[in-house]
Amino acid sequence: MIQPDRLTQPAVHPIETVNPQLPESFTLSNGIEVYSLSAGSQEVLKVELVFAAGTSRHTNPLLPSFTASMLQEGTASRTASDIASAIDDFGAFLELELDKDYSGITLYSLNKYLGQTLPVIQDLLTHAAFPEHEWEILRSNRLQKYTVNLGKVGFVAGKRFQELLFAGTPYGFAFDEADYKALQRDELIHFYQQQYAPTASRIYLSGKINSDVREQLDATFGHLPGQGHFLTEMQIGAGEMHPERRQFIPKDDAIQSAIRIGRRLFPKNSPDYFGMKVLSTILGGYFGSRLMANIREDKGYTYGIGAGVMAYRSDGYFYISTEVGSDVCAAALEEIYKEIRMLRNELVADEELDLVKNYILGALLKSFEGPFERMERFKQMHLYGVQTNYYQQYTAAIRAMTPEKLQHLAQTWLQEEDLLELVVGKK
Amino acid sequence: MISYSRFTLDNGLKVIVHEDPSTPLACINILYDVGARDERPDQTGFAHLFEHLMFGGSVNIPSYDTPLQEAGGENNAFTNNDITNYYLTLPAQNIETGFWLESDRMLSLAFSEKSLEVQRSVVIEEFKQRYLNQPYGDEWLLIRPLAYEVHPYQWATIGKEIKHIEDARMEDVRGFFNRFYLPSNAIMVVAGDVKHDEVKRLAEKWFAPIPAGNRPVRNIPAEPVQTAPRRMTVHRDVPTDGILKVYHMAARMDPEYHAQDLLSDVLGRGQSSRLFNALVKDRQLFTEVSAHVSGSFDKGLFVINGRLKNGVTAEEAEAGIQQVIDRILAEGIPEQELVKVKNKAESTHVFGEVSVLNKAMNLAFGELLGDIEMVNTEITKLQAVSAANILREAQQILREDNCSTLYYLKAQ
Repeated sequence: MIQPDRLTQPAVHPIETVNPQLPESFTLSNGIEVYSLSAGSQEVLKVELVFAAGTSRHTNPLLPSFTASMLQEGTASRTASDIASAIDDFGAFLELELDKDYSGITLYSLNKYLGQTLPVIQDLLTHAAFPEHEWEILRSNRLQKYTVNLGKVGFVAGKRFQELLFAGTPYGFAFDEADYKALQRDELIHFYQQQYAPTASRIYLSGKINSDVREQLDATFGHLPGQGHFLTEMQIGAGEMHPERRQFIPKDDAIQSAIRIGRRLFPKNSPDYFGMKVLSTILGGYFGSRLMANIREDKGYTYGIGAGVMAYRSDGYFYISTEVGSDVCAAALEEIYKEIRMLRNELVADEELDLVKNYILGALLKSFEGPFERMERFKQMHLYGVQTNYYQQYTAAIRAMTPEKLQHLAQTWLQEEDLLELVVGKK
Repeated sequence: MISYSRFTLDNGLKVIVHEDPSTPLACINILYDVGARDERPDQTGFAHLFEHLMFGGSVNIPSYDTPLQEAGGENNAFTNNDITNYYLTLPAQNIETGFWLESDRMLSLAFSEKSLEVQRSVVIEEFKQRYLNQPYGDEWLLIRPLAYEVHPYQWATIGKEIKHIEDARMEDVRGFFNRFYLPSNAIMVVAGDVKHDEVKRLAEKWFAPIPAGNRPVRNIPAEPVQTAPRRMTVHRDVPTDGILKVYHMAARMDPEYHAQDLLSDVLGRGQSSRLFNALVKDRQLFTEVSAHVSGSFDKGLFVINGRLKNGVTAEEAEAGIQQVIDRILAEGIPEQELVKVKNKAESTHVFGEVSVLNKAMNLAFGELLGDIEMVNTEITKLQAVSAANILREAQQILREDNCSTLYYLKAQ
């Protein structure tokens, strides 16, 4: 039998630039904008109603969160149990999503049952009743879950990191146990009336979209009243960076410590955004990254460590995130700073940069598989203030990236004195 | 419907091809017929540790990840009590890199001491992160040996204890590889923008030269029937109490499996379920409670799991669960509820087919379970379950004599 040449990698062909399928758009009779992307062969649909009702929209971030959750807890004509049954009876899934900027009511439905499932969403949107009984149960149960989560170093670190990083801005609104107790049902109703007017939504539709869906959408949502239109940007401001850049929250019995390091950066439409994405991938954005190779694969300090760049609508940040054995926490910190220093002081080798370029391009390609992923990519552009040639621009920036540009970015944005460090556990 | 073609190489490697030109990607899923149940009781956590070692370099290729990333690919793997599954995705034009990498590590690993040392530490960190440093993290480490007195399902995939991982030696690792990582003990699915003939050519080129080896014969003792209730109480540093109840049930391929699966949905899947409505909403005994089935290849577990509301005793909460069960035993399931859980199951199945990788995995599991067509026939089998079937299974398995119960209570 002929033995293949196992010592030589087979030829690697260039990875094509992704050419995203863009949705069609139309408006309903009352002006609600709809974006519609049809792909795939499975007879399924995802309908997302998006509102500018994320946690940055109120000083108590629990309020937008509870308002979103309470939508499915009862309407004028349906109890919580009725709503759950109405969805489940047709094998559909209802998700209420929330981030700092936006909230979303999402329905996943088989096409054949859309006629039965879509009206349930309309009911939630227009007649949410915020029943007292359900409200008290939800508040009490969430508070209890929060108490349990306080026992997890990763949870505490993630929460506190955001509060410190964005302190003094709407992206840094903080909450604790007292805020659960202080919430009033009236406040939720008021927020709902302000932020969930039907005409203040956008609708994103993806799946295998049949010709009558547009009509169904218009019949269901197109005649609902409302003032207001979809909000986008808001002013963020400089905030109040804590004078002490190294923060520590002790947890005596922690066998692992959580580490979060980072800084505020910028939103997606910034000139340095693409470059920082590439830089953070090299540092900790894939399995062969500097941080993974050192802190996991060489030292065995952790099960996972990562770095990246995140963007909200009006701002963004750089982060490094990990949980390490608490006995090696100090050593891990030292290694992390060493890796950042190397990016500032030394050029990335061409071979490594080529590998990362290919990796990112391959990952980009993968992130467009199927109608739901394609719509998700579109929303990432549409809701975050960038043009629809964003992915082509990103690809071009990746291909044009050089070691010199990366070093300059590291020197600009990754100076130690600008980085916040938070450790939760034992140092 | 998922279409596919199959062939077997002379060395016993089964290859399945699923063509899907709608994606620019191709994926390779390699399933090895080895899991935690194949370990020795004094050497647990091995199948999972070994999964980590598979990324430490193979005989001709010092780094697995680097060349894959060069080709624009990604990969991952997981282990459970029954199987170890490796998968990668690549732009379709670079699929041969996947064949090169997977065939080399099936041929032989590099077996470096450094790799073993590091992965030991990584797995120990995983043990801590997921099972020891989380509230309720060790509940499955506690209930498994209670429910399974003989069968190797008595230990979790991560291992019985950290010490087993600490003590792993290179000879053990080599022995494990030689025993289980053979073409005759593996199934490869290639899916995406690929063509059957090209896959066959690449499979012959890269995998056919690997010696077949002797496929291990499994000789796992059956778990004796449980005849009396089993109970355990522990106190841990958690802010609220938890209850875990597990009942012995069918194996994945037993005819009763589907009725038991749907029973778990009726009882505890989602916010229209019996447990949620009775115990979280109406009686407020729990903040969360759900039910599911383990789906294991050998006889599995029907699981009810919940977190108690503060101020409720474990006895009250457990009595609440029992009342929900008793009501089903007394009244059965109305037709509408049956339609609901079947619709939900069908929906889950259809949505699952959106992802090429998901289809590839399901083809591999089906082949290993001896019925590859199940990717297409499962829904029909679920549709055929009657309310009477479900009631019969509830009577059969939801008995205290068949149950192990764990009270996971906050420290005094």
